[in-house]
Amino acid sequence: MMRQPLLEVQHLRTRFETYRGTLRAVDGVSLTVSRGETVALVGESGCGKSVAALSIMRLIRPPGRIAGGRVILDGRDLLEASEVEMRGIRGGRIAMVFQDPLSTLNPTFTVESQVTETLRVHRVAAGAQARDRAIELLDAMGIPAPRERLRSYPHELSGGMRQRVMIAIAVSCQPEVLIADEPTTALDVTLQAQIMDLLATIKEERGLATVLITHDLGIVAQFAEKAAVMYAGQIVEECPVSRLMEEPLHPYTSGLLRCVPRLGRPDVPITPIEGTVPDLVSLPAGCRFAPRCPKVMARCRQAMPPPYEVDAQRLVRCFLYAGADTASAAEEED
Amino acid sequence: MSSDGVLLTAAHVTKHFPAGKRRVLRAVDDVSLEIARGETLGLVGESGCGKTTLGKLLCLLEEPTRGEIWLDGTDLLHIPPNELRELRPRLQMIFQDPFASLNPHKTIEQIVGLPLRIKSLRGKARIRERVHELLGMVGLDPSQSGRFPHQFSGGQRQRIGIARALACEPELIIADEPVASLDVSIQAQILQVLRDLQARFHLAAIFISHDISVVSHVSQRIAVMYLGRVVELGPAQDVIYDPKHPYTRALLSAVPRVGEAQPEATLLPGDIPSPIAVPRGCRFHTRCYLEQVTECGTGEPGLREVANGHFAACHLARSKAAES
Repeated sequence: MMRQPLLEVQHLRTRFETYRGTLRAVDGVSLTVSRGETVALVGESGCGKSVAALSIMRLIRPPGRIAGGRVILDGRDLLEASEVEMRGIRGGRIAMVFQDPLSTLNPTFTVESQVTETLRVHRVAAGAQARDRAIELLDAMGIPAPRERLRSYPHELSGGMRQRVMIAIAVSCQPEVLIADEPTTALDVTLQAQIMDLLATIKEERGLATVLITHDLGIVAQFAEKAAVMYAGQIVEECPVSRLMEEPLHPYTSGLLRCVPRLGRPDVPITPIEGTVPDLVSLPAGCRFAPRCPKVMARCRQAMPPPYEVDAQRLVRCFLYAGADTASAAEEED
Repeated sequence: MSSDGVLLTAAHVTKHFPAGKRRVLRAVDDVSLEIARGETLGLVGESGCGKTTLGKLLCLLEEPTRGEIWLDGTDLLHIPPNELRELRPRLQMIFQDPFASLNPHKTIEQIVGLPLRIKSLRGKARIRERVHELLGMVGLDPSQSGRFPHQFSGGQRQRIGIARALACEPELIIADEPVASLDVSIQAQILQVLRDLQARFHLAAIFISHDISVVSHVSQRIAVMYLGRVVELGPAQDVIYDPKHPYTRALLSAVPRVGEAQPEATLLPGDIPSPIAVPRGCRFHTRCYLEQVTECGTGEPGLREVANGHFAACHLARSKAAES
């Protein structure tokens, strides 16, 4: 069942100039998301997953810059689009939900002004019509007494309610793509269940293409269809979630899964990955995971493995699968 | 792990904070617990449930409003300060935030050496030797002891915090969210260090966490807190596989599983009530999804033994026979 890709990211590279040198935050990331599909971008702190999301939205500011690649939305390369055009796309066709609703909602404005602002800016509705639309949206997000809540300020709402307001703003202009960057990380697990349930319902109803950015493999397992595992600025493995969980191929992915404590299964040992992530300014030669990899070979320290296509649904950036490549490995740019 | 004899007993421990306008914030309400030597008790609950305050109370970093805390037969709240000072090293705390809990102006040697000097270990060379030994135990390079906290990563800083806690040779470690700020691969490293040290020194531990998966891995028994009270307490596997309190059931169902089928999620309505306005009757009844009886809205349920060593504070989880 092939679905038409809606968002296609190709060889995206984002860099930050620092006093110590160039930091390669995102280094050749490719990703496709179809309508109604949820793709998880999963990785640990500093792996580049949030920078990748901001790059898709073209929200990278100096000293950062997008150094190359393409972000194709419905056939149009967003990296070529004008700033005016981008303003229509952000919040209009691609919307974003951030981790911390306390710092992304403006504390000095009411819920009403923040929900209606998006509607006004994108010329969806204005005045009383925008207000009615805002009430409908809050109601649809499961916010009790939505009419009264319009007068509230963010600090008067609980964490879960604030995140519902953020989601209401995100979906207010009927976007086609939703980028959710750690949408439940700041929330307790019972609230997380509420918010993830809401996001799943919205995706289902509206056929949204969703990029779910998370560090939590449990969230990936339960809410995404496809997963891309990031390490030090690159995607090291990409495949359908069920296969990733059952049979991880990349040594980092399998290492990561062995670190996750399974609920009520102390018999399944937790095995740490030794060492720490490399410094993105002075990356090791060869594979970036080589210094921590239990299966490291001589060639891993010399050359960077390309993403090998192990089968039609799976890419693995590891020399262990060089022989399994069905097609020639995707060409690397620079 | 063997559990021989009770080390710490908390009886009816309560902590109320004044919250202005003659209101009180009931952070911890009538909690009774026992920790055996060498045992790990997991304390799990969501933000604001009182688990951190309870940890501080048990470590005597806060004074309870009511209740008693006994260490090895000594009533800690009713002994002279100099005697208490003698006993304090036996209880040590590990904090959540390895950035805020280490003094940025001190070197690692000074940080880990301070409890040694307080314990009247004299002589720079002897202190240094012991510091190096402690750093080695937690997997840090002793040659880096002259460095400052900012020169270490989060995981390494947490190791420093553990070394500092171990310096006093404690019998009970109270670890408050020791891995919450760490990535999963680093979290696994720290859990391994804690587990190894516990086994090596036969340490008892109270492991406080919001993450019931982590807790289920390190604990022999689990206590679940909700709004200042322990609502369920029992052997770890029993609490996970046969939860008796409806809150525990909802909590467990909300945990996204890796590598196994997800149970049907029981979504709790709304948010946790404020600890300033605790609901009358059972404090969970405003969010409870079970068919309620009149008692739920009127009487506060106490912890009752519903299975062997397994307690729940719920009017509806009364007898073993009624369950299952």
